Amino acid sequence: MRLLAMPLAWSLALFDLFVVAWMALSSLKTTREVVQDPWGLPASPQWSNYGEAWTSAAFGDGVLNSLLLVVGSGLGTIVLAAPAAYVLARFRWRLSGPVTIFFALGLGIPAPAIMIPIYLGLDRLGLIDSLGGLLIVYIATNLPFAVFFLTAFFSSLPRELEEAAALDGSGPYRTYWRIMLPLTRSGLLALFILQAIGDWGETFFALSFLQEKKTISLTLLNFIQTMQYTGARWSVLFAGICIVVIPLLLLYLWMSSRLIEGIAAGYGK
Amino acid sequence: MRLRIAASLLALPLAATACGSGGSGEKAAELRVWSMWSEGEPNQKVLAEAFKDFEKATGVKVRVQWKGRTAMKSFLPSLNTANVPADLIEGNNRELTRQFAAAKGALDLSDVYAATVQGEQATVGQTVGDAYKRMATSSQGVLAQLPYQVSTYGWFYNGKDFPTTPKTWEEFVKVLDERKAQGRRPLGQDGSIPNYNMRYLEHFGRAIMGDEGWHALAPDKSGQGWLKPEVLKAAQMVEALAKGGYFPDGFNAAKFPAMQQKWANGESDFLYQGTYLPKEVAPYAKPGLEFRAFRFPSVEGKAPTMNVTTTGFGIPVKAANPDAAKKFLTFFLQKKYQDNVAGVALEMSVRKDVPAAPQVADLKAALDSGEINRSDVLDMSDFNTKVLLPLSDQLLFGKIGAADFTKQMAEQSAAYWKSKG
Amino acid sequence: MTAVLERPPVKAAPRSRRGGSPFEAARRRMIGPFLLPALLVYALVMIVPSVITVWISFNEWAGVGAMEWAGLANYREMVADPVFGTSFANTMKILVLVGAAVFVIAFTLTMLLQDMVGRKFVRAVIFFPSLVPGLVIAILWGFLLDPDGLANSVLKSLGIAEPPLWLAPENMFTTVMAGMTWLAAGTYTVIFMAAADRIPRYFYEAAELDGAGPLTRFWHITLPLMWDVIGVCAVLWAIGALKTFEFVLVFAGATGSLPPTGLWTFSVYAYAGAFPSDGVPRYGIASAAAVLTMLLTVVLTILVRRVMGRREQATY
Repeated sequence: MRLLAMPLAWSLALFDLFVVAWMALSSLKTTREVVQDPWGLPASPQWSNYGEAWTSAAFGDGVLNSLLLVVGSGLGTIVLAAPAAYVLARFRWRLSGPVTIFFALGLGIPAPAIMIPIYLGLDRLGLIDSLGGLLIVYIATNLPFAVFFLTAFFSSLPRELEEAAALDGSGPYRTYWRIMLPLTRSGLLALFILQAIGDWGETFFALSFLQEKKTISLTLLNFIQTMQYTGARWSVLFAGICIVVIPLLLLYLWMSSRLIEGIAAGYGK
Repeated sequence: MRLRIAASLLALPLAATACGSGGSGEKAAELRVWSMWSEGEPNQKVLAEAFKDFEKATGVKVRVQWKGRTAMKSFLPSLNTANVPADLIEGNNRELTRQFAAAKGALDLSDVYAATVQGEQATVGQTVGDAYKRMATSSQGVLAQLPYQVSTYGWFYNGKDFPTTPKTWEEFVKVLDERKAQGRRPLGQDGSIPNYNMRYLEHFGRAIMGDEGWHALAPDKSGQGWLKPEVLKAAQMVEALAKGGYFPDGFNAAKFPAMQQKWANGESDFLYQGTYLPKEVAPYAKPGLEFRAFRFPSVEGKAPTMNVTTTGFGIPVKAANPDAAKKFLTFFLQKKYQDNVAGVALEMSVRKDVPAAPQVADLKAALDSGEINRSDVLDMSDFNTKVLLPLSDQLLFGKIGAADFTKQMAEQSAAYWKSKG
Repeated sequence: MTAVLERPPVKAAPRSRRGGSPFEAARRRMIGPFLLPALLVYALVMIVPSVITVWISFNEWAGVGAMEWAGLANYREMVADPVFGTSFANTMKILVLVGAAVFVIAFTLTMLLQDMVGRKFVRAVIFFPSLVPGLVIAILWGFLLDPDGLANSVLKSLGIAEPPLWLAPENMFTTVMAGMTWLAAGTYTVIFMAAADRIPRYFYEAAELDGAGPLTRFWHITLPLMWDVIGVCAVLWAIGALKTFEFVLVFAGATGSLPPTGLWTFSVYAYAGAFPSDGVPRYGIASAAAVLTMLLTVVLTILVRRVMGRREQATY
C-alpha cells in the first residue's frame, strides 16, 4: 500500500507545482502562445506583460488599501476573538455552550444574504466607501471562524497552568495576558495567515461597500472582466493574477511550517 | 486590554467618517459619473475626451469613476439610501430597464429625448430612433436609458475564404455541405454556454413565427404553445444541424472559449457571435484573419430580426445634479463623439449617419433599417435558465429529437408556471 | 479536547467551590468584558442582517424599492421548482461523495506517509491550490480536459483509443466533483498530517514492540488520537460543502452567465435569484434559499457532532 501511496502523494504534489508553474509560465508568453501551445515554454519571455498588467489594472491604487485591510482585520479579529474564545473555552458557566454554537452559526451565513442589510447599516453610519466600514465587516465575518478555531486552541492548554498562576497570586487578567495568550502564539499566527489569505482575495464585500476606493482584488476582478470583454489578452491576465497571487505564495512559503504547526495545534489537542 | 478594544472600536468609525463624507453641499456644482468602462479601454478614451470637452463648454466639473463591468451591480444597493453616488450611471439596456428602472431608481428621460442634440437640428429621440428608444423603456413605461452604442450578433467568417455571403438558410446549408465534403467541420460553437446553444432555435423560431409569435410561447402558462407546428419546424431545423455533423467533435465537451479559439485559428469556418468578437479574439487569432460578418440568413423567406444590446446612460431619481447629467447626454450624442465610438472604440454607434467598421458593415445596415427583435423587454430570464436552455442544449447536442423537444417544453413549461402559483 | 462546539467547559480550578473563592469571582467578572465586544460586533454585523434576511424571505423584493409581503410563497415555489431539487441533490452529493473521497485520500496519505522522504516538501506543496484563484484553475482545467487536451493526449498515448469527454454535459458534474476533491484533499491532508505529527512517538514504539502492523497502529493509535481533529474538519467540510459556489460558477460559467442548471448547488441557486444575468433580481427567493442554507448548517453541525461524539470516550 505504501508503494501505492507514495506515487499518489508525489503526483498530487507535482501536479500542484505544475499548476503554479503553468500560471507563471503563461504569464510570460504571448496570448497566441497561451492558446495554441498551452503546455510549451514561452519562445521568448514577455516580461512586458507584467508592466502592462501593472499599469492597465492600476494595481498601485489597491495595494496600500489591501495591506491596511489585511493587517487591520487580522489584528482586529484576534483582539476581539481571543478573549472571547478564552472565556468560552476555559470558564465554567451556563451559557458557554450555547454562545459557542451561536458563534459557529455564523460560519453558515452566506455573504450575499446579508449584503444589503449591512449596506443600509453602513450607509446610516456614513461608512460606505470607507476602509473603516469594510474593516468592520471583515472583522465581523472573520469572527465565527476565529472563535471556533481559538476555542479549540485554548481548551487544549493544560489547566494546571491557570491553577499555578492563581496560586502565585496572579489575577485572572494577568493570567490571560501573561500566561495563556503567549501560549497560543502559534495558533494566533496561523489564524492571522489564514485570514490574510482570505481577505487579500476578498471581492464580494469590497465590491459592494467601496465606491471610489479600491483593493487589489477589486482591481484584479475589474481587470479580468475588462480583459475578457475587450481583447482576451490572456498572457497579460495571467501576469496580473501572478502579481496578486505570488506575494501570497511567498508569504505562505515563508510561514508554511509555522502555519501548519498552528493549524494542527488549533484543530486538535 | 479592555481600553484598547474600546478605543479601536471607537476610533474606526470616527476616522472613517472624518475621511468618508465629502461634504454633500457642494455636489451640485459637479457631475458624478459611474462608467462601465475601465481605464485604458478604447471606449473609456472616447468618453474621457467628451467629458473634458463638456467641462470646457459648460464649466461643470465632471468626476468619473471608471468602474468597469460591475458598475451597475455595485450601484444598485445605493438606491435604498439617500446617498446615490452618481448622477449618471452607465450600463446596457437590460441593466437599466430591468434592474435600475425596475427598482424605481431611474429618472424618466422623456425630456432628454425631446431636446435637440447639442449644436444640431434633430432631437435626441430622432437621432436614437424608435427601436432603441423602445429598448430603453422599462416594462413600467419609464424611459430609463439613453443609448449611444449598439452590439448585435452576426455570422463571422474569414473574408479571404468566402467572396459572397448566403442570403437564405438553404444557401448557407449548401455552403456548409460543401465545406463538410472537403473534410471540414464548418460551424464553430461553444457548447458550454447554454445561451449560445439556444440562438439557432430562437432565430429559426422568430423567423418562422415572427417575434410576437415566438415571444408569446414562454409566458404561456398552459405550455401548449410549444406544440405548434411552427415550433416543431424550428426544432427540426436545429435537429438537422445537430445531426448533420457540422460542429467540431467534442464541441459540447470543451470549455468556453475553446471553440471560439479554434475558429479564430481557422479550424472552423463560421461562428455566430456578438459584434465584440473581433476585439475579443484578436490577440490570439490566426495572423491575417480578415473579420467579416453577415446577418442570420432568411428562413422560409423571412430573415429573423436582430438581437441587440445597447450601451448608454441612466440618471438616478435621487441624482444631485440631474440637469448637468441631461445636458451631457445631449452633448455626447453629437456626431463628433459618435464618430469616435466607431473610429476609436471600433463599436457601432446608434447614429445612422456614423458608418461602422467594414467588418460589421453588413450588420449595421440591417440595424439601421430598424429590423430589431421586438419583445425582448419582457423578462423571461428565469424561465429561460430553468426550462428552455436545458432542453435546447439537449436538442442541439442530439440527445433528444425535435418532437421530443416540443413535447417536453410543453410539459415543463406548464409545470414551471404551476410552481409560480 | 472533545469536539469544539458546545464542549463542556474545562473544569477550571476544580477544587474551588462554585463562585466561592475570590479567584473564581474575579474570573466570573471577566466574562463580560472579554466576551461582549466580540459578541456585539458579530451580532450587529452578522446576526441582525441574517434576521432581516429571514424577513426578506417572506417577501417579494427586487433588492431596492418597496417589499411586497408574500408569506410562504417563496418557499413553496422553491420546493416545487425541479431546479431546486437538482441543486439540493448536487449539494448533497458534494457533501457526501466529495467529502468521503477527500477524507479517504487525506487518511490514506496521512497513514502511509508518516515516514516518507520529502514529506515536509509534499506537505507544503499540496496546500498550494487553496492559494490559487479559482479562475486560474478554471482556465487550466479548460485546456487540460479539452477533448484534444493534455489529459486525453496522455491517455491516447497510453493506448486508450476513446478517452472520456470530461467536460461533456453528462460527465461535467463528476468532473466538477473531482476538481473539488483535488482542491480540498491537499488542505485536509495537511491538517491531518500535522495532527498525526503531534501524537507522541512512544505510542507507536510501544505498539511496534507489540508487533502491530501499520494498519493496526493507524486504527488503534492514530485514528483515536486524531478523532477531535477529524470532528472539527467534518464540521468545517459540511459547512463549506453547503456553501459550494465559486468553484462551480467559475468552472462552468463564462463571465456574466450562469452555469447549466444541471450543475447548480444551493448557493448557486440563491445567487441566481439575487444576481440574475439579465433579469430583475429576486431577493425574496434568494433569501429563502439562504435561510435554508443556514438552517441546514445548524442541523448538520449538530448531526456531525452527535455522530463524532460517540467516539469521544476513546480520546484518552
